[in-house]
Amino acid sequence: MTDSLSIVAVSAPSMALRYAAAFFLVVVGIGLIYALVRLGGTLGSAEKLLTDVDTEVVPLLKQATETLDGVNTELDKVDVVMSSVVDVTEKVDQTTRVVESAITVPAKKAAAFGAGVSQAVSSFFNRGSDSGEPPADEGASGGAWGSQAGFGSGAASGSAAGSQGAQASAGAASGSADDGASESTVAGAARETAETGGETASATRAAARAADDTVEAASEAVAQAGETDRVTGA
Amino acid sequence: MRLLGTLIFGTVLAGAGVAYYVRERSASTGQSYVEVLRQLPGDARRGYGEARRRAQLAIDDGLRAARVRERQVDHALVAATPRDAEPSA
Repeated sequence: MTDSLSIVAVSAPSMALRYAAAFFLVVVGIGLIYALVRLGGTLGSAEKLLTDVDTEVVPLLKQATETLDGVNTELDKVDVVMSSVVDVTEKVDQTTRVVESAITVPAKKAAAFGAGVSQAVSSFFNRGSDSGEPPADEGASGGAWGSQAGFGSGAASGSAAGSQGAQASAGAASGSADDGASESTVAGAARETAETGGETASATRAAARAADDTVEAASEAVAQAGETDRVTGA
Repeated sequence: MRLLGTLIFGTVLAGAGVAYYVRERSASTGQSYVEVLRQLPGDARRGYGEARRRAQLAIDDGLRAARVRERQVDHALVAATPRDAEPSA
């Protein structure tokens, strides 16, 4: 009896521990079961999700691949178009340069020619009015110089001053005449020649202005061509 | 026949020109027609020489003016050309 009581006394805590351990194990087991059940559900959901993804994403990927193929095809076409545009731009550039050289060079030459002719004519007839006095060794033919000076200055096509000089030399020619009748005749002839020279000067100036207008038009064309070239190049 | 007509026409034209010159020259200088005709070759030579000298000087002036004008046009064209449109070297 004492032994059994001692056993009971001794084993009472041990039994409590055992019950506690058993209860703990049962609780842990229940928790594990719950966790495993939840994990199974989660895994099922994941499997379902993966299945859905597998069934839905693959067609999407196929569509995306087809779309990319179409985009690549369009990009190839755009590349061809861009190559054509580059070719056209180069041709426009070359054409612009050709037109520029074809316009500017003749226009430049025309302007230079007009200025040269105008200056030459002006110089030719103005020198006549400047050298109105006869040379010293001319002797008896000095009177001829009056008329020659009248011719030279009378044409006076270079400038209005030439015409004025022509009239002045006409007066000089008339002064060198011996009688009044011949004086008026020579002066009238010189004035008439001066008027003709003034008309020639006006015509020459008009030609020079036309050449200047041509040059200005060529400059504007070059500027526009350069602008077009810059835009197409951009 | 055509050559003969041309010669006659040219002769008449030259004669008319000489007659006009002699009359004007005689009126301006008071010399007789004979004296004017006698001096005609010398006057013609002098006029030809003077015209040639003047023409040479005028040609020089014209060439100089043409070069100046060409330079001006060059400058105008360079100024009118945008820098982007200039040809690359």
